[in-house]
Amino acid sequence: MRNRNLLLLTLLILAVAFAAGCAKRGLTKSEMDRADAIAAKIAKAESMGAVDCAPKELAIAKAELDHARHEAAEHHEKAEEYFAAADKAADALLAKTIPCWEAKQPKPASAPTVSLTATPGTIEKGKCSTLAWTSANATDVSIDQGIGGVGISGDRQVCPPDTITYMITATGPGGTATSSAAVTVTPPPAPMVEATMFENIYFDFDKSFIRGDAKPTLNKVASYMKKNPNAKLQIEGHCDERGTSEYNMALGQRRADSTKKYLVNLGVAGSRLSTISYGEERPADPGHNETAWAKNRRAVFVLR
Amino acid sequence: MKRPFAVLLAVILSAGLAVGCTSATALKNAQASFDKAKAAGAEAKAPYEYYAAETYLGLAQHETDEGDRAAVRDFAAKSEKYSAEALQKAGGGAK
Repeated sequence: MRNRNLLLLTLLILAVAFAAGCAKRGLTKSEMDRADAIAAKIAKAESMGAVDCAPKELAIAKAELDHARHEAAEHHEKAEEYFAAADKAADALLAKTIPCWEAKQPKPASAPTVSLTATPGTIEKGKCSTLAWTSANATDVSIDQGIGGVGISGDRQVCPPDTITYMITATGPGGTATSSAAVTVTPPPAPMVEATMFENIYFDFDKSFIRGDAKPTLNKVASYMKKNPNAKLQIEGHCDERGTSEYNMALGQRRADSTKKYLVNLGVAGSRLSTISYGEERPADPGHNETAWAKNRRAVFVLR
Repeated sequence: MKRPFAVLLAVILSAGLAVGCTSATALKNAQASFDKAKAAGAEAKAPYEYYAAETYLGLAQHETDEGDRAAVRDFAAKSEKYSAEALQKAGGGAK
């Protein structure tokens, strides 16, 4: 009987000891909160690609949290120590994951740029200008005024009848950019008018001095120029066909210059007088005799 | 009455021994699985699974030292599971 009681007592002690050894307590609220906070860090890292960016740290953090929960359930007094270790592991995980995630983020598309120039910017009516453009970060580029889509860079000749402004628009993933260039169209210069009101003056063979018979004409020219201060006059020097072309070109220039000098002496501003030599290139008379040559050794007045 | 007492003690000791053997076996199996995964190059090919297996194996060994056999079995089982996944990803699993 005594042995039986001893047996029961032994069984009871063993049962209590077993229960005490195996029983698990629940986590306190603060421990659960702590675990949840660490789990949130791990979840955040996982959502940022930690499995690729920091696989080792992810594995350690998850296992450490698992361990901390286990230890908290087993040993209340050691819980904080293990949660601290898990938290440290989660921080290390985030520290490695975040820069990796940031590096993988697509960079915002660069804004397009575009420039357009017109060369020359001013043309006479009927002439042309060249538009040139360059762009960057653009997928579509177009120019208005009926030109339409163009390449990302290039040039094109335009011959607008009137002053116009061209606008280029470049569109890309990063937005839209524009640039413009104006082409100013000016009316063509008034055609040169040979001043038929003025007679030509003539020169002796191989000479460039002003002869006496030329002076009345030059006085008329000077008088006209004084009365018309906006008028400009071009003086052409010509020669007959004798002599080399080079020599006659220089002789024609001396004749134009001496004519100009005479007019300046009569009070016409030199800035309103221009000279040019045509040498023997533009004969007034195509003949090959003295009569023709005399007509060709001349100065001609052209109002501009 | 001495005999039942001796039987009971034997049962208790056997049960305790069995529990101890079970956890030791679990740890041994986990280590073997991990070694296979490592040999298959899982560290490079399946790093997350590899390091999870390694970490849980370390925890199982730690719990062995602590004498917490239930934890040893639990962590060893997790280590073995991750080793198997690592081995599969590394191409070293059963074909």
